[in-house]
Amino acid sequence: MAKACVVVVLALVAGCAPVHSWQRGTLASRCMSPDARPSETRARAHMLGAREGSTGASGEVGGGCGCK
Amino acid sequence: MRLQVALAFTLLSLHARADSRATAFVSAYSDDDNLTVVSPEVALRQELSPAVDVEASWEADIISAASVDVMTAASPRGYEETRHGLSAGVIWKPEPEITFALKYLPTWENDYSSHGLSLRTGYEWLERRLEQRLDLRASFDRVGRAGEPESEWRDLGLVAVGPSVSYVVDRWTVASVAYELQAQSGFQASPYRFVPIDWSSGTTVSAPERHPEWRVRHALALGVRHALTRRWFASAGYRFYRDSWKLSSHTADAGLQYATRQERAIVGVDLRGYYQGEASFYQERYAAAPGTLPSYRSRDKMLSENWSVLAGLRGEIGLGPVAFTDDVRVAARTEIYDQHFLSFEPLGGRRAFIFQLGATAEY
Repeated sequence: MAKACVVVVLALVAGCAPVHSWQRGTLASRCMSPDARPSETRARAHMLGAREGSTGASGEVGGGCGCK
Repeated sequence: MRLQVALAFTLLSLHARADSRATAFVSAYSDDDNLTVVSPEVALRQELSPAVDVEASWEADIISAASVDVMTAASPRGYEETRHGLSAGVIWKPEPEITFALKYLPTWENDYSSHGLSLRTGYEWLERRLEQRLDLRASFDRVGRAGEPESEWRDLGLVAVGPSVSYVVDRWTVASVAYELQAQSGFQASPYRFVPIDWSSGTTVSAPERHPEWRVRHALALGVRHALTRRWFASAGYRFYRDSWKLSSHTADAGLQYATRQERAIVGVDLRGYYQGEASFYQERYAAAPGTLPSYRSRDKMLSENWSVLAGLRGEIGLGPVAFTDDVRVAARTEIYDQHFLSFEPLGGRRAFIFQLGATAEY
């Protein structure tokens, strides 16, 4: 699994084109940021974590829960 | 050229967000298996200096349940309980490209307590086109039954490490890769669930649920966000999961958003599909020789084979400066969650409706 991650990252980084600072206006949009809505992201991860057997790699950290 | 630079700075300043913010949020979940959860949250992040922020939050789950799990377990009348969680943390940016965030998260309810610690490090390089993060977390939990003395509760520990990378592919596209490794050790069954065992003699007995004490989880997620135009944005993601209990899952999601001029309003839709296989020791019905019990046995539908679809609609509006704030944004979201169990005898599926409402003030 770790080797697969390294291969994927290197392959994608190799495809990067230079993006100058004056070209990043669109990237600054709220719609382009995965961190723009932390409460919603956390609530969703918490709800799904209590209903599905898998968890992880969601980027959010929450407290432990005895959710049944 | 000068016009392009000026325009870029103008756009960036419009989208620049203050580091101090206060958030009030509530989520309500209700399904046709008679479970209702209302979850309020209040969060605050305060800039102390250009390099240091502090943050704190309180959240709760107010639960009312008479689900099929509850009705077939030790408390057939259903139950109501409240879980509280706090967090307190500090974010330090010694350089603009470097971030350290440390957070403490205690949670408690009448039959569960948890003390968690998380550390996140972030570094942007290659002219800030590449951001790498490393998340480390650990928690120590205590699991018991309501009314039982805490001295009789059992331990559950967790450690997790999660590296992730996001990078700017071009001026319209950001891609990301995230991996997480979790290891859990301790009591991982439910103290309330009992598992029916069919003895070959014709008798059926009930035995307490028993899960392995070790669980190692792997999750790998890929994601991409793409600006289709200056107003339309699309996202897609996939996650693969596998653990030492031989449970595997696949998750795919996609979203579409539209933002008005200066992002005064944003609307969006998203769709998520999920499928998981069952854990190796999970059986819909257990059989054993008379007088014996399977080593591991479970009545947890979360370990059964199941699939689900989650569809959501979201709207957000910026109210602009209000009183002392720089901007106030209000967002609402509604979702429908359909889950189907393929190997869980008491329940074939459930449908849930989720509603969220939140407001954030930046200052």
